[in-house]
Amino acid sequence: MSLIRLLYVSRCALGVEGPARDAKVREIAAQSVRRNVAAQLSGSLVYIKDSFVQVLEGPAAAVERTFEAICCDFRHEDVKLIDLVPVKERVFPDWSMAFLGGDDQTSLAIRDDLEEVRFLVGINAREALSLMRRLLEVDRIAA
Amino acid sequence: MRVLNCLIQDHDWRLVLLAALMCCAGSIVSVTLFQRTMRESGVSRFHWCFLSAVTAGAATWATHFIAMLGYRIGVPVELDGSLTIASALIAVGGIGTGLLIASTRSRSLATVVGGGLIGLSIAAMHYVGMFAYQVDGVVQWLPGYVIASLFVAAGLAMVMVRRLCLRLENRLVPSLILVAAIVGLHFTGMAGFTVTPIPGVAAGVQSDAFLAVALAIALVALLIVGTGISTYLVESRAQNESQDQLKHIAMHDTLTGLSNRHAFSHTLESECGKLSRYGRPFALLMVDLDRFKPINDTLGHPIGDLVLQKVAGRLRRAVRSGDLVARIGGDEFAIIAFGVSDASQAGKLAARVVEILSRPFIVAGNVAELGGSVGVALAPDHGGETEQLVQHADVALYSAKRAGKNRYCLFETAMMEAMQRRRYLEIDLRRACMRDEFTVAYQPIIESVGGAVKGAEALLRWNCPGRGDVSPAEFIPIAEDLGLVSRIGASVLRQACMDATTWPSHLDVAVNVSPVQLLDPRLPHIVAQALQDSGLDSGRLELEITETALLGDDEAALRTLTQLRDLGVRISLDDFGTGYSSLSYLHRFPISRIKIDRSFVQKLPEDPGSASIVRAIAQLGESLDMNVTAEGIETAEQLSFITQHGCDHVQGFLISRPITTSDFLTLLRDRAGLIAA
Repeated sequence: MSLIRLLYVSRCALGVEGPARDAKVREIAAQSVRRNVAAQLSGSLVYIKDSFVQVLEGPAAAVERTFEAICCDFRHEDVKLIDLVPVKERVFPDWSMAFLGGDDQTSLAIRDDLEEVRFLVGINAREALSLMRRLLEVDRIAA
Repeated sequence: MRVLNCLIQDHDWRLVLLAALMCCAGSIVSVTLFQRTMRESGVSRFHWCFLSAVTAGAATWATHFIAMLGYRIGVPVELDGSLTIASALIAVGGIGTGLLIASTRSRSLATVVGGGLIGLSIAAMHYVGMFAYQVDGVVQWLPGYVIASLFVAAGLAMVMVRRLCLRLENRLVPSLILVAAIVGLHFTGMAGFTVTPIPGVAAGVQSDAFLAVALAIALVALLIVGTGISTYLVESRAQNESQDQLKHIAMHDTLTGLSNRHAFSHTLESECGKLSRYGRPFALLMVDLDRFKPINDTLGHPIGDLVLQKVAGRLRRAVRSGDLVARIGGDEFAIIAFGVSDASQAGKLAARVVEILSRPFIVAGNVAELGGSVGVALAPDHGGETEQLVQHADVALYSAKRAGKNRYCLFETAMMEAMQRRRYLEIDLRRACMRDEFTVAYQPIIESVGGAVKGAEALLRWNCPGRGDVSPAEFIPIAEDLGLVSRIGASVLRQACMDATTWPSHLDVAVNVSPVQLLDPRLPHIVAQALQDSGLDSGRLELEITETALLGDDEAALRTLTQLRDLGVRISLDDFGTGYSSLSYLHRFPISRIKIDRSFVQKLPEDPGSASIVRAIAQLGESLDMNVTAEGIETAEQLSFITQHGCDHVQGFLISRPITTSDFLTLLRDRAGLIAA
């Protein structure tokens, strides 16, 4: 089975601010977990300030279909595709959609890390990807 | 009277009721099937006829039989099996044949023969059935009633057929007539039938057994009737479904499932109609994909088709539910947004469309960044007729494309005028090319020190008959779009060379060359030809090119410029400092002059920034051993600054506006006179 990995960034356009928005984002993340399980997709979603960084990996057709649905979603805007490559193995095999969200409740340290991910994406997508993975490992150990 | 008496007294009411139900149900179904048969043609008609005959035959026969079973006769009865069966077959066969004849085109034949046959078959079935009804008694027939019954049956059947021939939708009336025929026949016939018991034979009471048989027959007959109506319903549904499918195909685009152009035009017309009647506003959006053709060309049509399907999906998401999205061309779409009355609402919708189309598409592993342009027209603000609205939305779309694509544009009346003006200008421009309406004006260039005239720059002028002077800024872009620039440029070159030969031989002429001309491999030939035809020495000709000309295919540009230099012609870089300046150009290309753009000169001498730049360019020129000319000198201060900082030549309104060649010669004489004096 041929796997591909996709990475994109976008800006939140939910309209509301603060805790209400954070709650909606969590809901979106939960929905994507449910959808991805069925489609054999895995990946992670970073949410910091009003930016999203999302990674999707899985069979090419499923990734394309899901990305199209993402592009039809008006809850975010300014969608930029950063990386699209065929891969041999998954970076996030254990997560249907790992959520790395930084809101007012999260610690400053974690928020800094997430901002760094966002920043790195613009420079070196692979680095950003590794950072995301490392953050999840830390999360796992912590949890 | 006798018939009524017969009806009321001589029958078991339960069986009569059952028979009546059978008759009614059977008649309605039969009539439905008769109607269907008469609508058909060819082989189908035979099939429907068979179905109708079996159903109607079973129904009428069962009615008769059940009614007979309910007849309280007071004597023992036996039924002859074969005659009973025969009566059923007579019913089916007769009705079938009658129905076929009733379906013919000739109304009178259909009614009389067809109807008559149906009626008489039912009657035949009745009387054969009566013969099967063998009683232990003396049977007497009253011929009057028998004949009357035949007339009733045949007559009412003819009336029914007549009604059916009218092809009306109504089922009730013909059904009632058929019921009347059957019932009328039965009871009139029964009224003509008397049985006198034979003394000595016991009265037979077999009602319960008869009831059971009657029920069994009723059941079977109902099943047959049920099959008949089922078949009819199944067939109706299949027909409806296939008609719906055809309708869908006619109104929708097969690839994307969106409405097609036909459906769009239809809806638009209907909306315009509603607009005039109820004043219901709407917005029309014309959407055109920006970079679809390269996708089709590089990735192939199958991928292109997939992309279009995704585009359709996205457009559906961008609009509100209920809005119409249609595909009206290869990569052209239209949206009708019902109820949208103001510009800001329409603008928001258009912005959504633009935004969603700007997001990347991934198809079969390929990434496509398309983008779309949208033109918006509001009804009734921008028009109430279909053609007008479409035209206005198209003009707005055109504006959006010209303004850079990937955006939307709302229609403004000014656009229409601008469009019209442009279209007329195009026509005039083509004509001007044919008739060589262009003229050349010359702006003198003088040495900054001393003021001696060094030469002149040739500038294209167009005086259009009926329009007056048209500024080059307006018509040159159009000429570029129309592909006329090379031709016009060549004629300017020729004219300039000709005019320059009439000037003193120390004077040069400078001619502008557009990027399009520079990429034309014929340019060196054109220049050589102009020099030869005029006899002008090549050292007196200077060609001015802008930095943008060097941007594109610089290998080709380099080749052309080298060839021109080999002819002896000089090259100067115009509007220096404003474009994509790369100092490497000065090094790579055979350039002998830099012309400082007027925008730097304008702010002299107050603006320190401009002053520094001018100084720097002048020094650059000196170190690279190039001449420097400053354009756009309008004040004495500018002139003195320029002179102080080392520009060799100047040009501008302060010195002279562009003038004709004869005025130029006059100017030269005057100046020569001044110097002499």
